[in-house]
Amino acid sequence: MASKQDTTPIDVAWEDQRNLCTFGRMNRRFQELDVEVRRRNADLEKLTDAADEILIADDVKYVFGESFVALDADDVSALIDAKKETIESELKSLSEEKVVLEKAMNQLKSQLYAKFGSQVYLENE
Amino acid sequence: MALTLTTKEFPETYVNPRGIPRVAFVDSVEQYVKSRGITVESILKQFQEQHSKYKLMEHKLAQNRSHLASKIPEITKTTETLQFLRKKLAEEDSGFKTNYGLTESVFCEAEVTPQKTVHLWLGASVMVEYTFDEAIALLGKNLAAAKKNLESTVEDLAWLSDQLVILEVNTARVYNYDVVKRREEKEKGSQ
Repeated sequence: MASKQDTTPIDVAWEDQRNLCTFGRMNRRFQELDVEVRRRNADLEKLTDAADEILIADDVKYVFGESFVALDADDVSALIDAKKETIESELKSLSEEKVVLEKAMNQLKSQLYAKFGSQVYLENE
Repeated sequence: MALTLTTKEFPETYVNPRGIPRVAFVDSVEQYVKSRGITVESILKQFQEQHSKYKLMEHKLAQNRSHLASKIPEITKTTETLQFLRKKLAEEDSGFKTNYGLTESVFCEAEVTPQKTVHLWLGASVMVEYTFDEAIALLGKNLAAAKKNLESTVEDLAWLSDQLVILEVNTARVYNYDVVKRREEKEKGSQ
């Protein structure tokens, strides 16, 4: 908003408007990705802990839906490894998307700051 | 990796399939105010009303999205269970034991005998019996539908957030224009 000390505020062209919208969307997506990546990392940790516990435990029950099924330790290890692989590949593609987004956002940021200087605020805090 | 729809720009000719209206971008604030022929206060008030409508829509879509987002892992979990069940019953003819949850914290042992069908809970107090193949096919269809729904909700949310930003920038520019105009008139008046 214009303050008393402002010189005539720089007007917004359609191109700039589009950049602003796109930046907003990218930022939102970036934050969503952040949450997803963090969740997957936590899951991976839990699975790794579980895999370790199996080696010590006697009989293992694996959860399907809401029931427990008694299985051999080997079967369970195989199931856990398969799950870990899925999560790791999801994690990889999410992290790649984050990198691409970050680059695009930085580019937009420099464009917008160049045009508007201090009249625009694009940080997260 | 290509940017997804949520991060690429919408084309100029885009019309939202669910009917969310486009907010017109104001090229020249001065011309816009003159062409509307009403006071800046009224323009700003209209912008405010539009803004609350869009915000309400956004809220509904966000709820929709989290609902779908929770349905998808549930369907995947059920499909996984079914596939395991099918495999296990094919391997061992005598069935197997499992701990079944009676309530959240009470489990009891149950024996799963070989069977050719499963019952799926469809909601609305309806449960239907299917063969394994039919059940897995149905769940696959549900999963695809949920994913497609999620996609269109996400697209709508992206479109909506764009319109909100345009609306907010329009509001700010009209307000600034008014402030500057008043300041100029005051200076002119005091000369």
